Amino acid sequence: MQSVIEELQAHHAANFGWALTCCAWQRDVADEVLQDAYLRVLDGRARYSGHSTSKTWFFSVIKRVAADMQRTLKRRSILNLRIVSSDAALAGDKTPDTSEIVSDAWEADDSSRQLHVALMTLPTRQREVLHLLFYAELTLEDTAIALDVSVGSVRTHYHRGKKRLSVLLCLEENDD
Amino acid sequence: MTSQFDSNSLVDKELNRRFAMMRQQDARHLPEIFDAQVLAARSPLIVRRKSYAIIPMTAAALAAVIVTGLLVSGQSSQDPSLLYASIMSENIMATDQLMSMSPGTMPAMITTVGVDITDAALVNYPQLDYAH
Repeated sequence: MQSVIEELQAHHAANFGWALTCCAWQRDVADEVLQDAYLRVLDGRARYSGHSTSKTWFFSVIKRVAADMQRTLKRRSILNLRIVSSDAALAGDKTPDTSEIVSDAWEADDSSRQLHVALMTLPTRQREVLHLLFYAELTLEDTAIALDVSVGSVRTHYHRGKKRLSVLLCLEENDD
Repeated sequence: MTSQFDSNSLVDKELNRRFAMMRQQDARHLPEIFDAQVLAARSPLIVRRKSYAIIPMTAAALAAVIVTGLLVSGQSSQDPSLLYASIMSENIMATDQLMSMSPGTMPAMITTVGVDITDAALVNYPQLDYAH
């Protein structure tokens, strides 16, 4: 148990970054997801099979917890939809855009904010692959394990995501 | 890692730089590894889960007591001869009923069907009368 806690502490920053990405940079939800994932690891609900590194395993647990959380939030939002929709129709409510969501997270400089906004416009899988490869610096194989997809799929999402991101960030793509 | 691709490209270098900045920024806002508030909100669930384990144990203990009680109370020794006598005196044997015959049955038994048939056979079929 002590070694697991030490491992969690060692990878805490990377885990938090991954939780933020899985939760579209909603800080409160990411905190909740991270704590829930840690609890699952500590009380044995999530079991380490030994087929990957502990870091990759933590990522896959966080991903699973985030998916569960999203489902729960969606159910709650559907339940509240009738009440909210009637109020919104009266008030002329508008959906917040991605830049508003990102700026809600915390104060970020322009470069990071641009990257946040650009990542938010990418499909979920591309965003996740780019995060794991660039942010968490995982290998292709570990990324595939963390996302439970094939290595070929990771490679495809990497190329497509990078191409789209370079366009969104106005980076020159002259190396294909 | 991205080095498996074309990490020397300008785009990769720029992306690496931006993601590293994002990583540093996230690290500045890193929450505590175990959020006391979140854990406090969840701790009752864990305690309740421990108390749930008492329920099957209690049920098992109760079942054991009941079974033991039933076994002890049901062990009254009885003499086999007394048991036999009580059974025989309480129940009328079915064979006795079958063997008993009502008085009205007897006249009918005199003219049995089999006798009539034998007589008729002798009348209608003389070839069967082997006495001739």
